[in-house]
Amino acid sequence: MKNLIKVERARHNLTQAQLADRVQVSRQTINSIEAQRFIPSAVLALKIAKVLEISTDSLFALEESDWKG
Amino acid sequence: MNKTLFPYHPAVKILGVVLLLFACAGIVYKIMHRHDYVSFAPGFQLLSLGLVFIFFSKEKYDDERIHQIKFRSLTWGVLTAYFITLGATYLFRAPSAHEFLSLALLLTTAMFYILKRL
Repeated sequence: MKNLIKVERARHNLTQAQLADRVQVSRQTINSIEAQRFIPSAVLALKIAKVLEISTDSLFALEESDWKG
Repeated sequence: MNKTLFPYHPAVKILGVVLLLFACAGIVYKIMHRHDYVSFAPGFQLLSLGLVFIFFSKEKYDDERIHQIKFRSLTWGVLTAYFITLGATYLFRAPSAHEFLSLALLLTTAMFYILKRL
């Protein structure tokens, strides 16, 4: 699943640590999401979108591989 | 909504480390002094309890990624320990339940800290 967290984070002038604090997860979790090593839950995705003032649909995008089991 | 999967406070990890060190010291003492009337069983009992406290206590940042990593390392650790125990049973002797638990949790905890850093 692709995401634009890094871009939006830069737009808001936030570090990974600052974003992590605001959504109450560790900095490594934000790093893993940006590097597409970890897929956040719906609640976490909504929290990130809320902090970055963007819709989840615009922040996250499904890829072809996400449709396969 | 804050769901807590792991019951123990992060400070319980310290108790787990103390038990682990005490158990290792006891096992090393037994090996060095070769007291045949003292078995390894108490050592492995303490070791397994210490590892339970270490692995199942909450992390500093106990978020969903940590839960996923813990579960993934648990599936890997228990399965690997099963096959090692199976081999040891046929080659040497059947390990006790505490020895199996110690091995499984040792592998699981190591795997957890490796995956956490990635």
